[in-house]
Amino acid sequence: MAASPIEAKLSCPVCRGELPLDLAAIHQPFDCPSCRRTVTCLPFPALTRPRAVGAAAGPQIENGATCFYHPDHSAQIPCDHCGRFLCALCDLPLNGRHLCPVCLDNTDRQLTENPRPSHRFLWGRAALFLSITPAIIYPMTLITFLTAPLAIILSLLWWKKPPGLTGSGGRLSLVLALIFSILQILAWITVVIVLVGILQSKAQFGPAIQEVFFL
Amino acid sequence: MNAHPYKRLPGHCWGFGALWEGEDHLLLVQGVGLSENYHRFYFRDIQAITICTTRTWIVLAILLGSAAMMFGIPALFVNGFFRWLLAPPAALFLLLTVWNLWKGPTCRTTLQTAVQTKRIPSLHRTKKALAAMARVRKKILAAQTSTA
Repeated sequence: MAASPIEAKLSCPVCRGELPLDLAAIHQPFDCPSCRRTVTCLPFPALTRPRAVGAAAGPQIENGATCFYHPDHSAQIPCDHCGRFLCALCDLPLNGRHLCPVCLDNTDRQLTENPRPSHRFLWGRAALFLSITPAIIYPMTLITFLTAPLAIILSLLWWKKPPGLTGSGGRLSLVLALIFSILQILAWITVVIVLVGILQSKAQFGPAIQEVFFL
Repeated sequence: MNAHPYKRLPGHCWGFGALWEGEDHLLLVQGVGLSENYHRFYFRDIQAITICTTRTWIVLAILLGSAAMMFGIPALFVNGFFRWLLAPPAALFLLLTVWNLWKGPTCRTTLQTAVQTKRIPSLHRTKKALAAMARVRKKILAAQTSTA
């Protein structure tokens, strides 16, 4: 297998100056030659491992077999879905399968949840935001009269939406959003009951009060 | 309920990002508010982790200490209402100064692969960065010796 020459290179995180590999290899702090700051480096074998590139990237499946997407690259493995020959660049391993970029894209669309997304919207956190923020900014105003039921509806609609990969913005956020929205609605119901009570008592005792004070 | 396969590594960035340890990769989570972005670094691809100490903590200590003195010294020489006005911010800045010194030196950490060098914002204190490095070192070495 042919390989590219080793181009091991380390740079200082602050000044971007090149760090000496021999100093980095001893696993002890040393001074950066450019900025004189103390640097601790942990190099791994991948740093000095030769990189397979281009047409010589690994053994070929058949004599002269090339990648479907890169005719100048030798084939490494067939796609487990469409069977096209793939080079090391196009081989995308997913759950033990080897897929080409097109099949992976199709698979992503078919799956309800991409197992390795690069971005995720946090539905639970959005419901919690909708539930809490108006109540804090505009407490007991008509906007919460609308946002609290909306937060309940959205929490229930988004119940099965996937949380963040590390669990953030998941069910806990949705439950908190539900609890806080229900409390807001209960507060509104209490206010309405008290207002109706006051109005009724006014209607009932109003004439009597007028008689006492105005006659 | 532990539905996700990740373990949190030491260090955080005020909710703006953290590094998580997965089965075969490190996951850098970055995001504010309602969405998150994910960067994966597979153990087999990681070439180096580099930590460089910075002077941010000294600057921070000077600023916070000065603010604590600015409120604290006048508070010692006045009485009544003004003492009560100046004492709480002095105490707060003093507490922040102590907290900053207790957290230790600051640093900048980068993670290098063959195609990119990515800054890890969550590892901005040397103590935490070294602890995180120690935790992932064995896994990375195991992954790279098995694929070599």
